[in-house]
Amino acid sequence: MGTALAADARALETAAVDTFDFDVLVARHQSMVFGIAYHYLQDRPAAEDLAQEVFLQLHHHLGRLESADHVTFWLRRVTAHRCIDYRRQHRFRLLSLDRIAEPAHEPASDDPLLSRRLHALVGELPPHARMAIVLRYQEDLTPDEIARVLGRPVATVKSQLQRALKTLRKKLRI
Amino acid sequence: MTHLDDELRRAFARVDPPRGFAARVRARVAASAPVAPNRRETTGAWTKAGWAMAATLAIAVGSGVWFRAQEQRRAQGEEAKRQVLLSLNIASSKLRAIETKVNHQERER
Repeated sequence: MGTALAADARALETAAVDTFDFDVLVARHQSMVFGIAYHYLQDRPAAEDLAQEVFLQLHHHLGRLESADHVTFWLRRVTAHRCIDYRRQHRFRLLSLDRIAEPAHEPASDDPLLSRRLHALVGELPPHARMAIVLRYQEDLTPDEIARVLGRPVATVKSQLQRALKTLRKKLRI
Repeated sequence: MTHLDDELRRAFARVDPPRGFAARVRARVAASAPVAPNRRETTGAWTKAGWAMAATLAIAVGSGVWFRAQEQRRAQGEEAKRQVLLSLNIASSKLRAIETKVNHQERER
């Protein structure tokens, strides 16, 4: 049953690329693209605008993409680079109060505020480290895959991930 | 797998975009459809080349007109100079003739 569903999903994915069914590709990948942009930028309107631009670019590149995997890789790469560029261009933005991390220590166990605290702390990381964390935990990518998406050496990505996790543990005291 | 890994996975799960996202993407695609990106780049390149050619042509024509005007002014100056010299020559020869006549009359007296 599960295998049949997976086969159907794969067939649908392949068909979408073969026939350039843009709507199917948007429906399939919108939560991935918007999720990466939203977790990285932490700004819903900016994330939506960026995600729309990524799909617009995808529409222009459909003829050059060869497979479903290629589409997924291409979307991750373009979204990641656009996010990093966007943040560089809008470095001095105004923060709303609910985006600012609270200084008090929060316990790690089942705390409803922990997710918010994690976002705030990840938001303080350097651009590539922040994107590495988003790709690692949203997309479940390995350091090798993250390195290919970001176009950086694997050793650099591994060290960025280690440093980022160490910083998060230290600030969360877990 | 650590507790932090689990929490990060929970916090950074995929997020659905706001309602109507796909329709807005379709609208943007439709709005950008008449001009394909390569075509737009090509058109831009041709426009730049056109402006460069027009500027070069304008400079060439302007230089030609200026040079021709300078030549005309120089030729007019030469002609004026020639006429002044001719007038002076005529006046000089007439003076010489009068002088000769006066000298001749004085000698006869």
